[in-house]
Amino acid sequence: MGELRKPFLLLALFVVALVVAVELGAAALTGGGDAGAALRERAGQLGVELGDVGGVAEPSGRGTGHLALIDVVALWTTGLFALSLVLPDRVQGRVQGVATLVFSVVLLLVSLVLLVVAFVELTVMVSLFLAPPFGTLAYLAVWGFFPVDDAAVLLGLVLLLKLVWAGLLLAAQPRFLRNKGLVLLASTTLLCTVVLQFLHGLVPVILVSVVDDLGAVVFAVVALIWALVLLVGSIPAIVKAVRVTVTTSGRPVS
Amino acid sequence: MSGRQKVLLVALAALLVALWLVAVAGRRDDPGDPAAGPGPLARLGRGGAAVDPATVTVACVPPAAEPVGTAEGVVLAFGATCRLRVADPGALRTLVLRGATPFEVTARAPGGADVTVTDEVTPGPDGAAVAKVAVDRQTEVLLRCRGGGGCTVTVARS
Repeated sequence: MGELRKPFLLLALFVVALVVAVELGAAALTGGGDAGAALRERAGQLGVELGDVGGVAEPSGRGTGHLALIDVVALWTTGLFALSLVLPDRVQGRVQGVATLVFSVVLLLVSLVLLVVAFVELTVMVSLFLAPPFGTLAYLAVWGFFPVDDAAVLLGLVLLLKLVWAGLLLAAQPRFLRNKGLVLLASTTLLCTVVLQFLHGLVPVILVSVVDDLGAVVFAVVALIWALVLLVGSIPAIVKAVRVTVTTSGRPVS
Repeated sequence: MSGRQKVLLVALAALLVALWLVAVAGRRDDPGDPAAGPGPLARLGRGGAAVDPATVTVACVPPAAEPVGTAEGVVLAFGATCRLRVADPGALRTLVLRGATPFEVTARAPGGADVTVTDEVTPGPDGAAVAKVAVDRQTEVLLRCRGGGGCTVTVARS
């Protein structure tokens, strides 16, 4: 099967880091456009009169940002592969288990908090929508004008980068294809990106924020599952590292 | 990696890109009608709890009779205008206003945006004019009585 091709692996690490950066920056890259005129138009459909209108902007949504919860796992995994280039196997074996344990616990907590935040926001959105006209208009003012086109461009870029990442990993070492966990992780993240794009196209524009938030909830749950998988997976590595440490420290000095 | 595996991987990547393109091309471009409601997504919402009438203070012009507490809520009888001040409910709540005659409600919408809404509430087929005002902080709600005959509005418990 050949040696690990380091340049491809390092490029894969760079690309997956870029994916996470783009997703985390999604809130800054999309939304923010003025939506005051659109709100007045929709208010007419509700048969109400709008007084002062200010601070009405397109939302940026949570869905793309929450994809990063899954992609940090891809970044972590790729980072561990890259770490093997600089650390001796013996040291990496000891460090990897503990570091993965810490990472998975942090991911677990962050995912849990973001899951609750997204879920609460989701119920608030729908509850507001269901209280016409005051609540509906409040919903429209804050979430009603999702920038669907901008989000599609961003998700397209993210999907492309993820495919490049997967391709670079395979170019670095075709045996990665035998790593079931890695294949499952790549499939999960690619599928979630496409699912989010489908969700954005499923409903009229005024409801896209609701389904985007629903996607964010699902992605937080998926990230929780991956965090648990990492947590459980790190335990044998820690046990092995402890055994090795005890064995070597108990060896008589000659 | 065998040639067959390579073909399979390229096909999978092409399938994902095709799915994404289908999702983009097949999306709904209509802005939607807010009056139609959220459809099946309504199941995701909770029935908003009503504002406790005891947390609402009232100032009417011209001065009206003192609000009367009943089992249903607090009853206000006024001639022209009443300003209701709703104390911060701590979370999203609904101020429920019921009357038998038309009245006008003006309130600031909840959330971060600066939006003031005015709605003319008219009795429905059951004879009741009902306004539900979503509030998530200390809010002033203005009630106006049209026609000069005076209005009776109940700040209801539910």
